[in-house]
Amino acid sequence: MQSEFVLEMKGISKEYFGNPVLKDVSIRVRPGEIMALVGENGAGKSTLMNILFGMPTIHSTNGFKGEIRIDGETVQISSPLDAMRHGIGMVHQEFMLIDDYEIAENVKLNRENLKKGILRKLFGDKAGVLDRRAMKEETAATLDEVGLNIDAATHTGSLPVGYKQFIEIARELDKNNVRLIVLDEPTAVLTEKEAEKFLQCVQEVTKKGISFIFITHRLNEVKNYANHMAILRDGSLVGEYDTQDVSVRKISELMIGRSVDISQLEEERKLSEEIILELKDFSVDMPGEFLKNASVQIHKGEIFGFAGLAGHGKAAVANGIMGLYPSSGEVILNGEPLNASDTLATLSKSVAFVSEDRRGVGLLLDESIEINVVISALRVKNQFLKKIAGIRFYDKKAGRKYAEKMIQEFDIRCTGASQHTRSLSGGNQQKVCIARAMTLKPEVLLVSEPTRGIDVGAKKRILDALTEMNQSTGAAIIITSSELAELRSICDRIAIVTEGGITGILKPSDEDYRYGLLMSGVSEEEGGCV
Amino acid sequence: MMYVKSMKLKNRQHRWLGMSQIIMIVFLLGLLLLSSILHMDTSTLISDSIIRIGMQAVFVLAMLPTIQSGIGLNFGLPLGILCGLLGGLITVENNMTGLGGLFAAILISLPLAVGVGILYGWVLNHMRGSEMMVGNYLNFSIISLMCIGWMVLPFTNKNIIWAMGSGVRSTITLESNYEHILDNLFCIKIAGITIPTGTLLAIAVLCVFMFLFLRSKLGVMMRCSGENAVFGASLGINNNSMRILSTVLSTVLGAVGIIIYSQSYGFYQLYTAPQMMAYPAIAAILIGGATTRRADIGNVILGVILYQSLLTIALPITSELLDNSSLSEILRTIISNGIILYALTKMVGRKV
Amino acid sequence: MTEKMISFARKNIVTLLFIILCIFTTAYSRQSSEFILQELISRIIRNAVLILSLLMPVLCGMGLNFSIVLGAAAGQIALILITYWDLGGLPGMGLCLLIASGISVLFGMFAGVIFNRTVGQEMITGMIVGYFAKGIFDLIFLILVGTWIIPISDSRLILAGGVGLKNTIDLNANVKYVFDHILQISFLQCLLYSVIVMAVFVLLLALFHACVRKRSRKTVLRICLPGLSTLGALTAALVLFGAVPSLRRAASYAKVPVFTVFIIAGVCLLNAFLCRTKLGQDIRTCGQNMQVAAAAGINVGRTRIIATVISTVIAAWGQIIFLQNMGLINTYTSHEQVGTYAVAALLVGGASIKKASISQVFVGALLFHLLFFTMPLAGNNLFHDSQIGEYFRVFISYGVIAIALALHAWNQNAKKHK
Repeated sequence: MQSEFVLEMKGISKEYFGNPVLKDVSIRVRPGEIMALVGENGAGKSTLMNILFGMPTIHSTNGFKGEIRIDGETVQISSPLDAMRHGIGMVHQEFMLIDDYEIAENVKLNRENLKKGILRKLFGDKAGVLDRRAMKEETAATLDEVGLNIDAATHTGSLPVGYKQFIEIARELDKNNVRLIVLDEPTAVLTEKEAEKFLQCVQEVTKKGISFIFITHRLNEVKNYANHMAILRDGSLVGEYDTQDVSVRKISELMIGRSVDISQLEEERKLSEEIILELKDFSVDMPGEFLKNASVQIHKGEIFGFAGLAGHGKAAVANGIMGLYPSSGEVILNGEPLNASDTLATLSKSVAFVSEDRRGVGLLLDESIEINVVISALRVKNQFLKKIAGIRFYDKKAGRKYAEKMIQEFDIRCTGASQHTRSLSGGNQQKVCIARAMTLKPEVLLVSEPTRGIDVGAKKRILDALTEMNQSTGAAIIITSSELAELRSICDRIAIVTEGGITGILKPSDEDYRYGLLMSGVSEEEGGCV
Repeated sequence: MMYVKSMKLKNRQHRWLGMSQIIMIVFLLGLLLLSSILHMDTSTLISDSIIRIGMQAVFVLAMLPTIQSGIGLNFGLPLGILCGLLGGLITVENNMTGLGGLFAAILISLPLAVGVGILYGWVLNHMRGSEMMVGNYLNFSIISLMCIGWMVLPFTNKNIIWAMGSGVRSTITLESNYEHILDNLFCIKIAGITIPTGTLLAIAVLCVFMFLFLRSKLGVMMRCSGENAVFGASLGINNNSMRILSTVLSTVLGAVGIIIYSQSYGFYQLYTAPQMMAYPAIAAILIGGATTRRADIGNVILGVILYQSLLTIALPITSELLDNSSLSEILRTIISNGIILYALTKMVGRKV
Repeated sequence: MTEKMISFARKNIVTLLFIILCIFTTAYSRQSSEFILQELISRIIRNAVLILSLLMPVLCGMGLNFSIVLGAAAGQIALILITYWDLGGLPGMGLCLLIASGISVLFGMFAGVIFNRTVGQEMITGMIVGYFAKGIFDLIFLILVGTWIIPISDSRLILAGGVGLKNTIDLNANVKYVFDHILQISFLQCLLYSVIVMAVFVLLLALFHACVRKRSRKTVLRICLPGLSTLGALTAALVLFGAVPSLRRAASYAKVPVFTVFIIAGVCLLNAFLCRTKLGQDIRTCGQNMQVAAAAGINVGRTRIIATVISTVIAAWGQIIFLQNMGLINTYTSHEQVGTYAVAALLVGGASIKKASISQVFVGALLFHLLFFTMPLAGNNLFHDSQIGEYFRVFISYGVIAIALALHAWNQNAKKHK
């Protein structure tokens, strides 16, 4: 029986430790179409795809609810191998290619053609000799299919980035039974030209009856190339359209649309005229988060937000200022130029930093809460030290006392100041990070992803602590966050960082779609006229 | 549920006295009991192990800084030992004797060790991830290079050079210089047990020095940077210089260590003798409960006591039971390498 | 052109340095060309298989396998058993190889499992595994053999006290040199025959492709090119050794054990064959990128264990060939330095931690062992002290490993910073 849909996922729900991440989501893909799946980071796209591929992370966390149908028949997909068997392929965001191999070897990876022989009969396929000629011939045929006119014996490493994407697709196509290929942000690493060519090729392949699920943030691409689209927000399906029936503006509205109640926002604060921090043509070379020529002025006492999608460069702002990654351009603090590469000097000029990578950069996981809280002040301000015979020693008594005070103040749930931070929950770890930054009594506090992976109660506590500090000390706070709603609830202004540049600065009260458009890299005029 | 989980994690926190250490202590006490049942000379066994503890403790202490700074186990410890030997030989050449001679040896070797430590640290900074292997082969090759060095160095004292031919003897007696000078200092004998008070005091001084260093501002910075280099960078701590500081400390301790070792042993041993000296020290600190990433002064003290007394008390007993004299050397190889192997498999890293 | 030469020199700096060193020490050793050629040939043949055993783990991305000491120990155990049972001749040696293979498969699995727990630190782990194994080996053969646990009494093997194996064990007359003495020809003859065989082979290959497969002349030439260049090199060598009187004397004096050469060629072919199989491709993929391999469904852990096992088994064969050529076993030391010397020789041949080929094995064996036996002689002539040369060669073997490791780590770090 031929079904209308090659894939149907019906009523999919998934919880991680009681946190719902997918709520009754249904998507359908027709044969030979490109279905776009759009949504913010954390909207549930990758969880949905993990379910489709039967990834172990899903099954080790109590599975999911709902049903998957392929060609109208209900199937159980409990491992990536099952998915492969059902003809579902994946093109990864980072290339799963070996640079030193010929294209044919990469396309045929672990599915090499083997010659017949006695040894192979005796010892199994492992002892079979590779049939390189057949590999090359078959690969050449597949490369033809994707419209890539290139010798199958070429070294993969010497190819331009754009081509590598094709080779990944060719690999999936080369699997005889493949019917559906998932493209996970395939155009993120491509230039506009390359992306165009790539998507044309994808369209070409659909003519053979192969379908694609296309995950992307670039709404223009969705509009131009996809037949059909599903929009996820906060784990729910908020819209399913044929792309010609919907405008880019509508899509971005649905994507962001938390419909923040503007009346609930606090009144716009009168900002001081004084500029405390200014970035001029600031570029940061942070792998995966490049920032190019960003310029922005931040006022004294302001709460300023950086929003944007993961990988677009918002995280580079704070990391660049703190000198954790090489940067160029000017940083001006209180009218004086700041040498961003000299971390210690930056710290001693009352700039403090809470990293987004809490466990990697933000904490000494195998040290006590006490050390974690006092270490910055000890390093920068020579606090918590006592001098004996001219040598500075750590003053454990003072440190302990201070740490205990902070534990109370921030309500850090722990067994005591000597507990190692590794064993704290995410929220309490974050409180430790913020307590440490506040110990420096900063004039500018850079906080990245303050509420990532934290339960609701701790979230509120942390945001309250930040606003409270802002009000009592008048310190400027710069928050980088993927949670737009959260930024809009506490910031005075929000800059949107897209594809390495600041595309606009908005007020919390601005309309939802404007945020969506800026994040998708569509200029407002372009989005408006569709 | 969250609470239970955090309690479990807390138990995994680093302790210098873990279950395996307690078992080993009980085992040791049992062995002592057994030795007296077998009518062996228990007090001599104890004396021997105290002396061996005194000889080896500084080497074990030398492992501490490099572990703390994130380099890991210092397989290149013999580089420091070579510095100490050179300093020591110069004092013998000039017929220096007594405590003065000993201190002179240490003083001469110090600048050498500092220089070597800086170079060694600089090399290791370019070898992140392969420090153990590179350190080990650097050690092996420099030791063999110094073998040539010992043959051509212009020493003239007849206590040092071979009576026939050229070059330095392979063992140089300290009988007329400072043999047992620290061991015999304030030496106490209780119930047949000889306690080399001077040596133990010297070790105590070094341990206290290390303890204080680790609690100074610099020491705290080194530990932070070693535990998490990026965290350190976010506080403006230069991880490279912290690592060099640690190799300098370790190399200096290696140099001081061999001088203390030799005064107790009575000889300077040259040529290939120092090549494998890092191994027992590494095994000792690991037995004391350290890992390749974390160690404390407690691990050092407990480790050297456990490892050395295990070897000096347990091995004669097994030899007694099995009646074979080469057994102890073999068991020593198996135990120390087995321990190192175990620690390597427990290292944080990718597994397949 | 000059640029190419400079980059060639830079890539092969270690090898070039050793060529220069070798010329020096050979000249200053003041030995007859007969002696040097004979010694060199027997040393290359003695060590070749041991060095060959290192190739698979390099391909698998595990670096230089210092744990071939385990394989060597397995080979030694098998030889001791053969000696104890008084077996010999080709059937006896066949059994010996079989037993050694069996034991070394187990040893290889042991090492492989440990390597899978210490990814990225395989080399230091391999070294410690070697030391550890040596301890166990000594425990069994020095302490336990002859007691009630392993009751053996044989005056040829056991120490006077009745417990433990002797420090040196003389191999039986029909085990000693058993491979080497089957067929021996002079080096000159050997060259001549190889030229003839090679010429016939190339001719047949060309005819096959031209007439049976009907390939174009250009394709045939391309296929035959490696064969032709080898033929050219062999002919040149033949002319050189035939024409220069002193070399001619040496070449007709030096003996080549043909059967052993065939065994070595067999191991080379086995290695080349494995590389062309699916298994070889899996090993290569794991070596290139473990994540990609795993994502493609290759069982990385298993593949790495197989690579280690292959290496250990070949090392066991290598040790048997080595010892039958020596004629006696230094029970407690013969296997000790096997890892270090094999690794050093391979590195001298121009291999790195990431890449090694069969030709590098032989270039390395030639240079390293030429240096190894001429160095003390040259030291004696230059400094009137052979000890200096002795120490210097130890320094060279450790030093070349240290430098190779350092260069590798340095490049690795430089790449990361990019």
